[in-house]
Amino acid sequence: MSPLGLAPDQITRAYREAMGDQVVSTSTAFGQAGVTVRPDAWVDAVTFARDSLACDFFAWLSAVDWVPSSDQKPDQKGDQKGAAKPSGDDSGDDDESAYREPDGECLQVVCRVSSTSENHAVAIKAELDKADARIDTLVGVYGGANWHEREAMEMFGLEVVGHPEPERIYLPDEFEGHPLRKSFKLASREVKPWPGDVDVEDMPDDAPVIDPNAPKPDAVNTGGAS
Amino acid sequence: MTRTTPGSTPASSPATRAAQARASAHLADAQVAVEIETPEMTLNIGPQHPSTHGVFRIVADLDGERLVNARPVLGYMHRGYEKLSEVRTYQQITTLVNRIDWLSGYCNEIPFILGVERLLGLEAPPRAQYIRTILSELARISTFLVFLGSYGIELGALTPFFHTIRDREKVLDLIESVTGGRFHPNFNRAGGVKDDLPAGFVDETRKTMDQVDKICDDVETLLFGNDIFRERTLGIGLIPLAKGLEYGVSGANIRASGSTADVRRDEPYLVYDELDFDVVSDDRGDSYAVPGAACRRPASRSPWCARASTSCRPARSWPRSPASSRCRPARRTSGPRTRSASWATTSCREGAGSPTASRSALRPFRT
Repeated sequence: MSPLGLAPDQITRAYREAMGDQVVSTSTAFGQAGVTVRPDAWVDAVTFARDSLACDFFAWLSAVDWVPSSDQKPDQKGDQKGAAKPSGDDSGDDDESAYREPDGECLQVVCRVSSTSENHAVAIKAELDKADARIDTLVGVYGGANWHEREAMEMFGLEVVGHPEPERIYLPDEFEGHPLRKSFKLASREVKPWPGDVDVEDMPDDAPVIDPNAPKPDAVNTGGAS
Repeated sequence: MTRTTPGSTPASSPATRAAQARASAHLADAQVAVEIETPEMTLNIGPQHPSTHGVFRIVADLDGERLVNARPVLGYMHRGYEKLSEVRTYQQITTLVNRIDWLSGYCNEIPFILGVERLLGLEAPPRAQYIRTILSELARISTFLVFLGSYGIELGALTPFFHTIRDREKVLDLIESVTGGRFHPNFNRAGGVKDDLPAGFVDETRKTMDQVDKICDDVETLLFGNDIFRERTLGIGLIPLAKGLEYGVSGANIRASGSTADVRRDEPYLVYDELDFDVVSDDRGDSYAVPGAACRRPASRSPWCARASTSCRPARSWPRSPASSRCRPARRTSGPRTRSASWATTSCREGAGSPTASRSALRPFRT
C-alpha cells in the first residue's frame, strides 16, 4: 500500500470513532480494511467513506449468501468465538487481523470503495436477515451503485429500498428464483452429471469436512437434497 | 394533429363536411410525413456485434449523427460463473474465469488465483511470479492490439486492423508457446504456474515486441493524425473524472480522464512493485484520449528476463497534450517501454473484482 494512504487499522479505527456502536465489527484480515455496520447505518457508512476518507472510486457491490458452516475444527470455532466480541470493543489488532465469518445465516451485502488520491480502500459490509433482506440504496452516494444493486437484487433476492430503476438487468423477465442464493440448485447439473467430477480425488481422511450445506457436485448430480 | 376548423362553418352540408374531413385527414397525413423527419431516430445496435465475443446491445437515440441517449442492454452472454464455481474445485475454476474477457484470458486468471493463494496462505515462487507477470503483459498487449485495430474499424478505417491483428497473432503465438492456448491458457495453479518458459522464449519475445512497437508507430500514423479520426473522437464521449470514478471506470479509460490510478503501481501484485514503469494519463477525457492512455502504457522490466514482457523503444510520438505530460509521474527517459492495454487486469482487480470467500480447502464458497 502506498505510504500516502491510511493503513487498514487506521481506517477501522476512524470508523469506530465516527460511527460508534453502529459499527458491528471491523477486520483487517489479509491487509484489507473491512467494516461491518448495522443495516440501518449502511448509507451513512458509505457516505463516511466518500466524504471523510476521500474514497472517490466505487469498485463494486455484491452480496454473499452465508449458510451455517460445519467444516471448522473445534479449536477454530473457539477462536472464532473469541474474535466475535461485542461491538465497540477496540481492543486491538489481534482480533481484527483474524479472518472471521459472519455468525450464523445471513445475507451479507459488501461494497468496496477506494481512494485514488490517497490510495486506500475499505470494504463496507452489512449483515441482513435472509427472510427480510432489505437495504437502502447507495445510488445517491455513488451513482455507479445502480447496476450493482440491480444485479444483487435479482441474483440474491435483495430488496434495495429507494432504487431509482429496480428492473432486472441480466435475467429474463420470466425467470424465477435468485440464482446466487445457496438454496438455488444448478439446474443443468440436475439433468446431466458434470464430467469434471471424476477429476476430483478423494480427500484424505483427516481433511476438514467440506461444508455439507454448500452445493456439491454429487449431491446436485443426483438431484438429492442436502 | 392540427385542428382544421369545422366548427367555424356552422351550417354545412354533409357533402361539405365529408370534403372537409378528407381535407383534414390529408393535412394530418402531410403533417405526419413532415414530423417523421424531425424526431430522434432510435437505432438498435447489436446484440450481434461481429467483432466482439461478449455480446452487447445498445438502444441508441440519434439526432442526426449525434447520440442523445443510449440504453445498454447486457447479459446476453452471462455465463453464471459465480454459480458454476460453487460446484467446482479451485483448479477447475481458472478455466472459467479466463473467459471473463476472451481477449486477455490470461489476465483474468490472475486475480482469482491470487485470491485463492491468499486464502490458502500460499505464495508462488518468484520465478512463477515473473512468468505470470510476463504473460499478463503479453495478454494485455494482445488485447490492446485488438482494441487499436478495431477502434479504427468502428470509424471506417480498415487498414490498421489488418496490421494489428497480424501482430497480435504473433503475441498470441508467444502465449501459446508457453501455455498451449491462445485465448484460454488455464496456466495458473494455486502456488505457481504449470510450466516453465520454453527455450528461446526471451529472444522471440524481444523480436515480437520490436515488431509490435513498429506496428504501433504505423497505426499511430495511420489513425491519429487523420482528420476524420480526429473529428470523430476529439471532444466526443467525454467522461469527467469524478463521474468516471463514481461509476467505477478503471484502467486506461479512467486514465484518459486524468486519473493516474494504476492498480499495478497502487496496489502492486505479482512482481509489479519491482518493475519500473510509467503511468500515463491524459486529462482530455474524450474518445481521442482513451487509445492514447492505453497505448502509451508503461513499461515493465523484469530483471532476469529483461524486456521480455515489454517492447523496447520509448513511445516517441503518441499524441499527447501538455497536460498529459504533466501527469506523468516518474518519467523514465531511457529504458524499456511498452504499449499495452490494461483494462483486463485492472478492471478485474479494481472494477469487476474477483472477490473470493472460502471456507473449505477444496472449493470456493463464493467467487
